[in-house]
Amino acid sequence: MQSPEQNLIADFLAGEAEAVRTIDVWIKRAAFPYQRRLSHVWEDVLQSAYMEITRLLQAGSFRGEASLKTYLWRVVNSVCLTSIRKHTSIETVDIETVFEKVDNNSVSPVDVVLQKESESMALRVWSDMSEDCRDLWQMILRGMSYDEMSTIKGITSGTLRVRVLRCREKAVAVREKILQTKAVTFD
Amino acid sequence: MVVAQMECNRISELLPWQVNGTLPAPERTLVSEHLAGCAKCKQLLNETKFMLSAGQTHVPIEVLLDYAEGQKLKNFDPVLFENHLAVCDECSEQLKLVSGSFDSIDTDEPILTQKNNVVSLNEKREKREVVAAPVAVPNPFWKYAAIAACVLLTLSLGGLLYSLHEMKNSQSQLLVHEHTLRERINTLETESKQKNDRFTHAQEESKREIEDLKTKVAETKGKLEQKERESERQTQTSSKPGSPTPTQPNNSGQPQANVVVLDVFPSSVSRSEEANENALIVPRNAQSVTMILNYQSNVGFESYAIELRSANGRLIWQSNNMRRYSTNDFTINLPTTLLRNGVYSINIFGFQKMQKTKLENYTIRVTKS
Repeated sequence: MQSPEQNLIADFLAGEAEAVRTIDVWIKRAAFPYQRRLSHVWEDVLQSAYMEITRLLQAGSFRGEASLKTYLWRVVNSVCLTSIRKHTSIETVDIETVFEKVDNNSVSPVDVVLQKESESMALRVWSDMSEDCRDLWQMILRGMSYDEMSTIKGITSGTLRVRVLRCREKAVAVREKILQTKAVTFD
Repeated sequence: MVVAQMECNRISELLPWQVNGTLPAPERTLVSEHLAGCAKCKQLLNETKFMLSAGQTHVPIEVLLDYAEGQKLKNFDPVLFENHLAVCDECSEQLKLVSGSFDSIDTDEPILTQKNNVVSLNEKREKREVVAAPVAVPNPFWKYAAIAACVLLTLSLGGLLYSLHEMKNSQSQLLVHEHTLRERINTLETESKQKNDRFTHAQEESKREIEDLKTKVAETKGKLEQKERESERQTQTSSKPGSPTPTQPNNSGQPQANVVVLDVFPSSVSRSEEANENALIVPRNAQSVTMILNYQSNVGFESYAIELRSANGRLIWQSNNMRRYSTNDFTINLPTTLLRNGVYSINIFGFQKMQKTKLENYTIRVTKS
């Protein structure tokens, strides 16, 4: 005997109007807070969420560990957050390439672990940087030229470039220190 | 070697903007060319990319979802999560969005779509028998209308209460103002009465003083008249027609020895270097003084008059029937009672066709021995 949620999934996949309407409401409620943030791609994101949910439900990914509503909520939020992060990143970073590999399930479990290590490392280094350094590098990430940054900071471009260089050197030093600590731990 | 190191340093400073694509074309070309042949700078480029990747690395979405659900974080350091949230605005914002989504999925409120259309969930209630899955029960619209009406009613009541309160306040303020004005009027009336009383009192005192002064003036006038009468009587006695002439012996008709005679010269004629005063020493027992007033002018007048004045100009005695002797001099006889110690002035006037002309002035200093 199937549970009510399994019945609802079956009705939804069969195109039952009421089941479709119910899941539609859940999806819209879960996605509603993102509407303003993703207004320029809202319809696309919503459509992506529908497609992903349909794909996952067809693949039998819902195993009933949580309620169907919660499961759908996680999927919708994942789609929305992925969309937000995709629209705020630049393409030149290597780690993004690794993300894509992970998403495509074409990497080995070792690669996944290494990827998580790299992310953890990056997060630690970023957290350990001074606020001024983070501010400078965020400006670079937002695509500002050194002339624009020096105008905003009220310093000469030469001084600005040296400061950015020093921040990079400190961050690399922090990364080296963390790596050394890990090496000692493994030993 | 040194030149190459300087080039590397310069390239190293430009790498962040080479990566974010904002480097100007000449510098971009320079950096690209340099990177092609410099392994050290390639390493620096990787470090720069690492920095940019670190800036774009965020907490995994699953971790954010677990945290929003209140679940224990799996395979992720909670301290690192908290530290990253403290410095990453994007992750903080995303966590808020996830939390908002988590809250909204369990509510029964209707959802506003992008076109501001309300997703009606009433349809679901109508077909409740068909649906076995849990369904969110939407709110009917009358509830919102009722809420709006309640809000309006509350606002209206609040406004009414506020108006009443303001009215009471204004009334009490008016009463206080009226009371203050009345007190002020009373004070002014009292002050006015006091001033009137003082004025009346002062007026009465002034009247009384005026009466006193009038009385004193009348008394003084009486005394003055009496003195004038006495003075006139004395004058008349001394200048009475038919009375003995000054040159004649005393009214007693008896010969008088040691009669004081003073030869008086005009003030314009100085006999000495001293002042133009004629010194007259009068013995105590002398009854009269005879003065010969020297006058040298040959011009004649129809009649002559004489007057005796004290130093302060007070008229003591006068006579209009003076005669001039053949020697051109005038003579007078004055009782010593008229003369006290001091300076006197004697003036001679001539009358010609009713015109009075001052002819001569004499100054005498009387000293009673």
